[in-house]
Parts: sequence; structure tokens; C-alpha cells
Amino acid sequence: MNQKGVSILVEYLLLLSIVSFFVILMSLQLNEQLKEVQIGKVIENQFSDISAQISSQLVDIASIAPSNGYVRANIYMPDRIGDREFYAGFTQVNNSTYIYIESDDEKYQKYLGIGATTLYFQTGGITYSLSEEHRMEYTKRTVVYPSAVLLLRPSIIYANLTSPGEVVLDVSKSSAYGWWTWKIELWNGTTITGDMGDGTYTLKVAWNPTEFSNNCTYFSTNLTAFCNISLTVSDITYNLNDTDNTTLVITQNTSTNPDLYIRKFVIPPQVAPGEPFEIHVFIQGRGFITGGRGTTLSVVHVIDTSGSMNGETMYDTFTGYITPSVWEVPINVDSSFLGKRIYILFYTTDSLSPWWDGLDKDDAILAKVEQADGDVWYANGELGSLNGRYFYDSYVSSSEIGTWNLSVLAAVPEKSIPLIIDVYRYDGYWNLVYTTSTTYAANYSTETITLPENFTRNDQYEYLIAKLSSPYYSDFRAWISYLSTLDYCYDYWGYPTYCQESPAPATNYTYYVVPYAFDAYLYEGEASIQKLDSSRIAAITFDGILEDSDLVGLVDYSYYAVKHPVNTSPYLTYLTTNETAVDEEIKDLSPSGATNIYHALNQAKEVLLENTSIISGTTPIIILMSDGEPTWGSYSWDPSDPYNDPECDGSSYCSSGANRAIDEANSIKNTTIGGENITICTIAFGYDANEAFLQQIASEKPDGSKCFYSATNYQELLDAYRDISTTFRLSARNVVITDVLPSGLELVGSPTVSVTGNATVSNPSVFNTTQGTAIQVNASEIYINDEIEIVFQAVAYKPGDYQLDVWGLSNVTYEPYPFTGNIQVYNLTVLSGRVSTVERAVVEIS
Amino acid sequence: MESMNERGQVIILFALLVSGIIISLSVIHAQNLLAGMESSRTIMVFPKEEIRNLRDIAETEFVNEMGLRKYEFDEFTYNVSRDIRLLYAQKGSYAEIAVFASYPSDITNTVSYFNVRITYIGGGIEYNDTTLCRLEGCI
Repeated sequence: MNQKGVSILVEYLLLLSIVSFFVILMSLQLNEQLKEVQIGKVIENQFSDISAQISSQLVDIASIAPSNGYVRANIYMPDRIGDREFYAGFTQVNNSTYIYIESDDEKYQKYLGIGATTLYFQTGGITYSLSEEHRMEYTKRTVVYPSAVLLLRPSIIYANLTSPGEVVLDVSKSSAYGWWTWKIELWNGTTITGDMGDGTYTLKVAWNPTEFSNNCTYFSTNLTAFCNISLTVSDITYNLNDTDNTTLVITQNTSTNPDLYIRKFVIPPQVAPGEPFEIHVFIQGRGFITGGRGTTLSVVHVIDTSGSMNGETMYDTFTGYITPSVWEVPINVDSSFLGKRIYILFYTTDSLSPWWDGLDKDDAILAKVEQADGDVWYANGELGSLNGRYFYDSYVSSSEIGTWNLSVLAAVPEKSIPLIIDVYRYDGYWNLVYTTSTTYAANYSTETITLPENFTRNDQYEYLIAKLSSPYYSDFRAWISYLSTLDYCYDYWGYPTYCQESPAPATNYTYYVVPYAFDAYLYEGEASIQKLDSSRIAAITFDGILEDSDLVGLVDYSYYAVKHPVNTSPYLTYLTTNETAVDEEIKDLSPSGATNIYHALNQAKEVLLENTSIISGTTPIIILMSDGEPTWGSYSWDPSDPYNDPECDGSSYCSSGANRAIDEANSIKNTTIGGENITICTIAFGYDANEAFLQQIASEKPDGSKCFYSATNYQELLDAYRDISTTFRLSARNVVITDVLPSGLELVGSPTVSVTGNATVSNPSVFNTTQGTAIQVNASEIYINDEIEIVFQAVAYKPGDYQLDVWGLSNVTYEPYPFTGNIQVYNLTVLSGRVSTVERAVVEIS
Repeated sequence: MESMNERGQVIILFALLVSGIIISLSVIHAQNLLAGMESSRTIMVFPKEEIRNLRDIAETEFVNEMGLRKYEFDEFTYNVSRDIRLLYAQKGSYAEIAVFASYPSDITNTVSYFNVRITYIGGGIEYNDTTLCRLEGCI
């Protein structure tokens, strides 16, 4: 029985084992078959997903591809798919680029073409699915080649043995990638260096015939030298250089005829296919303002001396950034302070002299306390006996227990001072529980304001006002220093940082700006002087640039006009070639009364008509400056009773006075002296001037525009006078600028033209020629120191070196002085640019 | 009874095997369901517009303001850059437009060109571009 039982069990186990073996074998086989089919599908789908992800990243990157930079994009993928690790990357098959994914057992692969994107970038790289991070990086490094551009202002200078000539070397049109430096080498080997922070350099040139003979092209007969100046621009990033050369004309001969100074340059000199070159044609009217034009001027200054000319006008502006120096101290207000009083002192033992002498020295310190609960309090209490502030809390609550942050600053420039913080707790008496000190130096800034000499009587200006603008003035304290004076700038009727010096000597003023707020940063400010003082500077400067043979006179006006005798000649009393005599009269003008423009014009006409035979052949000009409008001088006004005008009140616009002035202006404009009409130029000075009226009485300039200027500050007033001085001095007429782009280059967009000065210029026209695309601009007149700049972009799609113009066709034709009808041709410099493919972008998977 | 026991054991054995197969297949099926997610997510989150906006500001808005005086231009670009940082930070990304303007010539007081570096980090993308801009455009 036992044996039978055993044999049945053995038989049972054997049979079960055999059956199980076959069942398991079949099941595993079935599982493997079913699984493989599913895994195949999963891998196919997942590989498609990853490659689609890479492809869409690629397309998105291409749509925002930087011209000079990178895009890094993360690629997301599982560690394993279907229990298989895999690789993803780019591969080349039959000269086509694919996104390629392959399982590590090489059983499964997926290829996805990336189409035309490879035209724009090279691809490469691979990543393994088990890597910690997968990334695709697009990189393009476009080297922006430096472009050296040297412009001269002016391009011709007068120099003699006693006074050097001045020329501004302008490198500001140069450019390079990032920070760059420049070096200018003069004809005599002298080098001047700077960086992109210095846009211009003023060079003084002394007359030195020996030096010119050795280093320049020198013509001893007409005392003129043509000297070469070269500029080299180097960028710090790539160490690339570019050089530009130009010629400065130095002469002792002011009768040198005016001419044109013509430059052509390209930015940048090398580009990638499809990127544009920027081509500039720059023209400057070359000649002397002070001579050489052959035209003599007879100028009458007509200066408003009404009461409103005592008002202020902006003289200079300044701006800057200062981050305050803040001493920050954390203190631990622990549970021993709970429910008690606390008293914190912020002070200095320094005398704060001379900055706070005569002032409340407690105000020099600014302090705040940030309690543990986040409350912030300014320490407004003044210590009195000590120079500083205090903070007091009568009850330290449980929420205030913890770290308190104390911040202190002091408004004291130029010196270091000790700063002390004492913390007291009231334990039945004031117990000093903490003290600390430091040596403190404030961050501050200085602005220099210069009032020039020789423009006012005894070099005293009526006043100078320096102040910061709203809202910045609340964040700073200010002082002004000049000669031996130091003044604190008070709060003037709600206007902090306001300094007024009266009278103000002609000298340098230093305006100190010191932060007085923890978040102070930016400031802007301005300096102002009396309007009449501004007018003095502008008129006297104008006189200084008149040539020796020019005649000048002066009329000032308020209730009535006054002709100033400036000449002792029996033939001419009110006009003189001695500008100093007029300047001395200008220095003595003072403001008061109303504005009688009619009489001003009438007296100016009388000045010019005093002796027309002497000034015949000159260009007669009246320059009338006003800060207001006609308030006096009606048809009922009689010069024999100048303070009585039945129709005008002297303080508001008087239409009768205006009409009488307009009639007088028309009469003057129709008056000729030696065949030349008298020209009236008007300058509206300040915001209250009646521009419409002044424009109405102004004559037309040679270019057809009104000889009218609007000036709201000293600098604009000076510019107006300077502009008038050049208005009547032409460099060239009938100028046609033509630049032809050779075939292979394509014009991009529309050309632009910018004009500085009075030149009359047409809009650029574009037309096709057999040699290429032509860009043309016409300028009927170019005056001395006018600047015209034509800019256009051209693009080439194939690599190579390109000539950017056509010799002979790209030129400037013009009628030079003395305007005999002859046309001169200046062929533009042939420029070349390089189109290179070395800057192709790269996309890499890693 | 014996044959009943044997059949029961075989059924249990088969049931275990089939369950194993189904489990392994369901895991693979789950992977299949996830396929397509990454590519669609990438398309949706790529910050094209955010980056284009930054470039527009640098290459159009800043260039349009080149008529300002140098200090005004610096202030303008600084303020815009600060606002951009704040706005993009609120959206959970980092963006910066750093401008370095050339010094002005004495004639115009305005900047003749400026270098601008645009940086954007967000949505799994890091973007950096430096260009040189003039009135006529950026290169």
C-alpha cells in the first residue's frame, strides 16, 4: 500500500512536471510573441514622439534664431522604452540630415528628415537615454567686424602762429562688437587714444610749416597743408581692427574757396549671406564761417530788454546715478526688552564742517529701524546736543522681539566721519546695552557748471540757479561751491536742492549731489541764468564769428528802442567793423518795461539806412530776438512820448502794436540796399514768446524757409545765432549725389537721408541703370558746416567680395563756389565688402 | 476526485501565466498611451512669442527712441528693462534686455548705435542674443 502510494505520487509528479514544462514553454513563447509585437509598436510610437519633439524644437528655434547668441532647449525622453535604452541624435544619410533614434541593441531605428532647415545651420551630436539631461543647443556667433569712421568737424581749419586751429575728431560713427578702443595717428606721428566712451576729441593744431612740409602735402604759395589722419578701431572681444583715413586741411588763407567734404563708408565690412551692408555717403559743407565767402554782412542785433528778460532760462542740464552708502546694523532685541522702553541713538562726533555749518546738523543723519515684526520707522527725533537722530519705542511687544535691522546714512560729501549707534533699554534707568561705530564715507556726485568770461560787465552774471528736478530732488541734498564760497542748497518754496547765487561771477561752479534717501538712485538737474545774460552770450559769440569786414550794430528795446552809437566815423555811427565796441554795449543792457517791436524794427532800419553807399554790396540783416510779444507801440504811440500808449497796456498782447510792427517789417523787407533786400531773422526766446507773430515778421532764407528760430535755453539761442551766421554762406549749389549698386547686390528697404543745417535736400530716388540700382539725392544748396548723410542697405546672397559702387557712376556732381556754372565731379571712393559663410549656425544635441 | 484536483491545479497554473502576460502587456500598453505627449507639450510650451516680444522691444521700440538724448535714452532703456524683468518674473520666467549705448557726438547729443543683449530663461528654453542696432536697423 505504501509502495503503491509512493509510485502514484512519483508518477503524478513526473506527469505534472512534463505537462508544466510544456505549458510554461508554450506560454513564455506566446508571451514573447505578444510582447514583441506590442513593444515594436510602443518603440515606434515613442521614437516618433521624441523625434517629433526634436523636430518641433528645431523649427521653433529656427523661427527665433538669434543672429549672435544661442538657444538651449531641453529634450524630454524616458530612460527606457520597452525596456530598451536608446540613442538620439542627428545623422547624415545620402547627403540628407535626419533625426536618428536607435535602441541600444540596434534592433529598432527611427529616422525623421528635417527638410530645408539644414540650409540655415549645421547639425550634430547625440545623446543617450540614460543621461541625466538631454539638451539641444543652437549657436550662432556672428562676428560684427569693427568699422572705423573718422569725421572731421570742420574739415578745414585756420591756424596761425599765435592761435592754434581747432578741429573735432568725431569717431562716434565707428562701431564694433562690445567694448572697443580707438587710436588716432596724426600726420606727425602723434597718437591719441580713447575708447567707445569718448565719441569726440578736440584737437588743437598750431601752424608749423616745417612739420607740414615734412609730413603733409603742403602748398607754401597759398599757405595750405593737406594732412592725413588715420583712425584704428579695435574690439576687445575678438581683437579685430579696422582703419579709416581722412584729410584735414590746415590753412592760413581764409580766402580759400568753400568746397564739399565727402566720405563714404560701410558698416560692417563683412556680413553673412543674406545679411545687409549699411552704406553711408556723408557730405559736409567745407569752408570758413569767418571768411572766404566773399559776402560781407551788415548785421543789426535787436535785443529785447523788456522786464521779462530778467526771468531765468535753462543754461545747462545734468544727470547722474548715485547709489547711497548705507551702514546697516542688525541688533538682537531679545526677551529682556519685552514690555520695556527702547531708545536708539544714531549720531556722529564729527563737526560736519564746513558742509553743515550754520545748519541743523541733526539733519545730516538719516536713519531707519526695521523691527522684527516688519514695521519700519524712521528715526525722526533730533538729538540736539549730539549731531544725529534717535528712535524711541515706549513698549517693546512680544511680536517685536527678534532681530532689528538699523540703517544709517549721512549727507556729508568729501570727508569720512565717525558714525555711532547706541541702544538703550529702560531698566528703571536708561541702560546702554549695545553700542557700535564705523567710519562712514558718503557716495556723492559733482556737476560742474561754467559761466564763461568776457560776456558780462565785470564778468558778473545777474544770477545763477542750480537745482535738481522733480521728483529726484527729494532724494538728495546739494551744495554749490565756487571760488571760496560754499553754499547749502535750501528748500526754496517746496523746491529742495535749490541754489541761487546773485550776482554770479564768471567761473566754475561745483554742484555737489549727495543721497538723502535709502532708495536714491537717479537724479536730473539744471542750471539757469538770466535771459538777458543768455542773450549777451549768444550775441557776443555771434559777433566773434563774424569776419573782419562784416559790420555790426545794436538796438535794444522795451517801451521804445535805442540805437547804440558804436562808431566814431563821420560816415557811420551805428554800424562798425569793431565788434568789441558792440560787445561792450551789449554788456551794459538791463531789463525793464514793455515790448515795442514796431519801434525796434524801425530803429534797426534806420541803422542800416544811415549810410547806404558805405554798406552797399553787403548783405543787410536784422536779427530780432524777443521773449514775448508786442505789448506796446500801437499806431497811436508816439516816440516823443514813449511811456504813453493809449491802445496798449504794456503787459498783454496788443493787436494794434502787432499790426504796426508787421507793417514796418513788410516795409523793411521791401527795402533794398545796393540791390540786396534787408533780411529780418527772428528768434523766439523762451516758452512765452509769440512764435506765430515772430514767424510772420521774419524774411525767407535762401532755401525758402522762414529765417525764424525758436530757442528755449541758452544753447538753442546760441545755435540760432550760429545758424544765422552760416545761412548766408554757401559751400556748393546744385549738388547731385548718385550711388550705383552693382548687379549682384540688392537694395533693401528705402534709402534715408538726414540733414543737419540748412541744406535743401530732395527725397532719395531709386532707379535701375544698366550697371545696377542707382540711389540719387539732389541738394539745391549746401551751406558751410551743413551735413548730409544718405544711408541705405544692400544685401548679397552668395559668398564673395563685392564692390559696393560703380567707379565713375557713383559720384557727387556740384557747382562749386564762386558759382560760375561749372560743374565739378567727385567720384565716390570704391568700397568693398565681403560676404562670408563662415558664420553658419550650428545645432547640436548633447 | 483525483482528476478534479489535477485539473484545478493546471487551471490555476494557466491562470497565473495568463495574468503575467496580461500585466506585462498592460505595462507596454501604458507606454503606448504616453507616446505623442512630449512633442505636443514641446509645441505648446515653446516661448516663441515671449522671445519675439523681447526682440521687438529691442529692435523696434528702442531704435525708435534713438532720437532721445543720450541720458534720456539710457533712462528709457533702463526703465523698460526693469519693467520687463518684473513682468516676466510674474510669469515665472527670467528676461532681460541689457543695452549699452554709444556715446553721443557733439553735434546731435543722441546715440548713434547701441549694443543690446537679450536674455530669456523659461519653459525649458534658454535664449541669448546680442545685436548691434542703428537707426537703420539691427545687425
